[in-house]
Amino acid sequence: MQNTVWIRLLIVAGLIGLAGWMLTPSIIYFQLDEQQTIEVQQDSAAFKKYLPSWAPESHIVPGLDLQGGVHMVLGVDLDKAISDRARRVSNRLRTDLEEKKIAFTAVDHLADAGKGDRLRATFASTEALATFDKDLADLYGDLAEVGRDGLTVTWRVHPDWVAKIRTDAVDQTIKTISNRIDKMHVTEPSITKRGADQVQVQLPGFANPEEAKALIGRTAQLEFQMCDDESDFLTRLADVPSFATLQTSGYQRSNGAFAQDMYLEFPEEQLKEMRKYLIGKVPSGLVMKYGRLPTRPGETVKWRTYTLKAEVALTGDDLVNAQVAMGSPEQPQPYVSIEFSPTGKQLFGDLTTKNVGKRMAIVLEDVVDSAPVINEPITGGMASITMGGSRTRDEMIKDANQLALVLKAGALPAPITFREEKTVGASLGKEALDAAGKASLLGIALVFGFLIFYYRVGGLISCFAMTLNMVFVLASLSWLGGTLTLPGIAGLLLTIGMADDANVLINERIREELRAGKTARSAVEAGYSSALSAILDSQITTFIAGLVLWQFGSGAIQNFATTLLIGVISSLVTGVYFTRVLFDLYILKDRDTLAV
Amino acid sequence: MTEQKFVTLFDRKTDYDFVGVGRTITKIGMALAAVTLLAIPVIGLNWGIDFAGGTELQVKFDKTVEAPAITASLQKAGFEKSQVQPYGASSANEWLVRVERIATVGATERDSVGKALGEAFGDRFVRLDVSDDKGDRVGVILKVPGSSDDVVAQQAALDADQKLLAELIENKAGIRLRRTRQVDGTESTTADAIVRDEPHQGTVTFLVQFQGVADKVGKGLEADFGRFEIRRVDFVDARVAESLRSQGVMALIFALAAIVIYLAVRFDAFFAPGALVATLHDPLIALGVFTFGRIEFDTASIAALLTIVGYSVNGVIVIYDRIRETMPAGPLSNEDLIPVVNKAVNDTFARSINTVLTTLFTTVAVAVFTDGSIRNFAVVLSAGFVIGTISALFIGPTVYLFFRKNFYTPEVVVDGAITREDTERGVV
Repeated sequence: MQNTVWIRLLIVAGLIGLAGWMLTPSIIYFQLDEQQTIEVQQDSAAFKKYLPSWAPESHIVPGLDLQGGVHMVLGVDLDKAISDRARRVSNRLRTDLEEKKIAFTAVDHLADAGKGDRLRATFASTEALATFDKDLADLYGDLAEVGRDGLTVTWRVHPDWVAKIRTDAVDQTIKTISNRIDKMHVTEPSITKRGADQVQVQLPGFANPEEAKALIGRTAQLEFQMCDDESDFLTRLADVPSFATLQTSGYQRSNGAFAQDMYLEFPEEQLKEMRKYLIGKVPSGLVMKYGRLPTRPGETVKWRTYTLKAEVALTGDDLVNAQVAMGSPEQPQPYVSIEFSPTGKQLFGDLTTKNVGKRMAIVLEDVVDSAPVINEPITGGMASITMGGSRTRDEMIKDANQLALVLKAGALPAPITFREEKTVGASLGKEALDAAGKASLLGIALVFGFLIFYYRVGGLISCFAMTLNMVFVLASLSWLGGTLTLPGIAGLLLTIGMADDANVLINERIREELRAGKTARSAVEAGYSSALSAILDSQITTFIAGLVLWQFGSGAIQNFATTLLIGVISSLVTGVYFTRVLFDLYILKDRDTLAV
Repeated sequence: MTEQKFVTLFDRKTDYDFVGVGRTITKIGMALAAVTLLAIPVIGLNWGIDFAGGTELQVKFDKTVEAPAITASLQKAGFEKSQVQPYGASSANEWLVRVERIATVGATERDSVGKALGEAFGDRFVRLDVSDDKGDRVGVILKVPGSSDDVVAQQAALDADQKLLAELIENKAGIRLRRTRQVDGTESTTADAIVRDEPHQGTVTFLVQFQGVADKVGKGLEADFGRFEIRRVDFVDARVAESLRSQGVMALIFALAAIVIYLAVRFDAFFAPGALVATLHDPLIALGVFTFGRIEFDTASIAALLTIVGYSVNGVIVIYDRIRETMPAGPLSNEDLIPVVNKAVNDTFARSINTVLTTLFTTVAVAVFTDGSIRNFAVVLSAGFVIGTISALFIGPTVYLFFRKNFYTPEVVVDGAITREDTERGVV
């Protein structure tokens, strides 16, 4: 073992270097003053400028109980989402039957029966029923027939659709909430799925839960506004900033005429500047909104202006569904099919009739998502947005999915209930952080003091090992971008306290061997080999407990479990491998006694 | 060879009679565990909000306040059942206020709203939709005015209805609707608290959001006691509390099962029961600490229990390892084994003490400087570690010897007996 000591020392030095590298961002993060911290939290890209180029970006995120903030768990009422679906299908069925002149006496959504996912239609005659079966039944793939009783047919929402609604609803809710929270300028928000039908939202630094609840619970701003492609005021602007370039893009209207889409293109960082510049320059009756341009990987992200008519023709309140459709023989490209409420149907019909050939902007939370051309009047309450452009089919499908999600994000798919809320005031957070610091200092001081007093050099070696242990755990957490809560810190301290068990075992064994008369080298050797099995056992049982906690716990408890688990692995490395290296260094020259 | 000198807490190798004392301690331990098992259903645990559900506020007043005054203020605000207790140092004026109802809509409120709506809308008022799930949200179902042909006019009429609804609820029924406070301090209008569904089959549903509980408690306290700071609010829905409870129980069962399997693999039939008894004994006593000390039992407590279990098994394994290692070969009677066991425990005594000492350093440090849930966590852990060490030193070996004594029959070798082999070989 002796001859490899230097190599092993090198390995250890390398690991320390690695840990240092992983920890750098966290050290820098916690050194920022208040002003800088706020800036960095609102814009994650800003953190980069404080980092040296060789450091990684992720850092430890202080938990809510340390920095204050709001933690919420929302439940998504999936049953209502399914019931709503059944209701909309019943409306659709009624409209279709009327249009195709199939006689019926009633079409009802059975809202109060069971889960409310059933609907029932009674036809006027057997011929009517037969016509329905022949012509319309195929179009209702989202229904599964439950029973037929003479002229009455009962359906429920197809189980496949139910499953899809369940997953979609939660994902959609998450996306919607993310959009809304983006607008709140919250620091490093975290929105995650929890279980099958819950969403967990964490807003650090946000002090007012009622405000957060209100913002999250409302309908998002989805607006439809007509584009103005006639005005050319953009060409007459003076002092256009240097970062913006004027672009024009021609397109052909369905009546054959050509039209110009004129806009200013600029890099993303200059959005604020662009807004400032255009204040007061937009003619009345028009309004300027902004949207992202498609970017290829590696390119800088660019945005563009959209000149829109000020009037909001339609909002997301009137949209009830958006879905991707793969295309039909007539229309082979993928498209997004959208469905309006009865009010929306009327408004949309009016809008499209008046504006055939013009472009209509879809604006979500004040950002323009896209501006497709209206090809024909749409009075049926359903419209399709074709993915135009010369892209591959896969790209178009991806864009279609994205658009459908954006459109659906305009409306929360199902009512949400607030299941859990924890708010920690900032002052309490600061106190907690303080307390954690003091506790750590005292605990570590006591442990180190005792070890050095009792085991002398062996103790000193243990202290080195434990310091390294802490560094490794924090470095791992930092690199993973993990959160650190008060229980997490407790878990870290506990790992220290329990990890030194390994060192105690080793030191005690070495003492025994020395008492038996062995020389230093063989004592160390024997000490390590006999202690190893007991060390492994103790770490394994702690690991099992930590694993179970991690699996069943959530939030702060999970954090405790995480630090415990990482700590176990790290303490095996530091407690056994590292201390051995140090011991070997200590006894480079063999001797008879050891100051242990 | 020079004589090695060590720093030790004990003069030479110790020679305590762990087994002798162990019997007494095991009996005491069993008794305590039994008492705890009986006490828990009778006295009950002090469930934290994670498991009981409800809303809990940590408030800090500007001046000294008495508990009965706070309870009275809450009752005035409509919360009959509440728990009030001081938090931290008495000079801090901090209190923990827990109210059971998580929604502000009770039967009385429902009635007053129903009455007001019935008067205003007459025939058009169908019913109120209230359920525990919806918390402080209520559905008001009205018949749709006019015909559904002119959709735009209908929507305008429903908008007017919505405003009327808000006014009625606030002014006539006297229930505050939720308001949003903007960054600049202005509050939203009441109509924003109401959201409308699609008209369907002749009726339309308005979802009305009432003032939140924290808000209501806050306003009540502010009216009576002046300015105060809300330092923390925790709200857990009853359903979530239930699932947290079952998750906690499952976690404990899983961990214990995993440990049992691990022990079965690691040790033979006589060691395993001893380890199991010692391991089960510790979290039980810890639960006793919770029950008798009325310490709040929340999810952190589950973490504490699991950690104690892990630690406990540890301690027992180290001792058992040593026993196995130093056990002489050949069949042994129980009397022969007692000194072996004793020596094993003595040999590892230094380790047992040192480990619990260093671990206690960290948990006591946390307990000293922190408050509230994490402090309870540290206190229980500290107690658990001490108990765990005692059970590993005394209960583990005793139970092992007990099982061995009563279930182990060593092979009996009698000299000179005629064996079957002999007969077959033709010796005899």
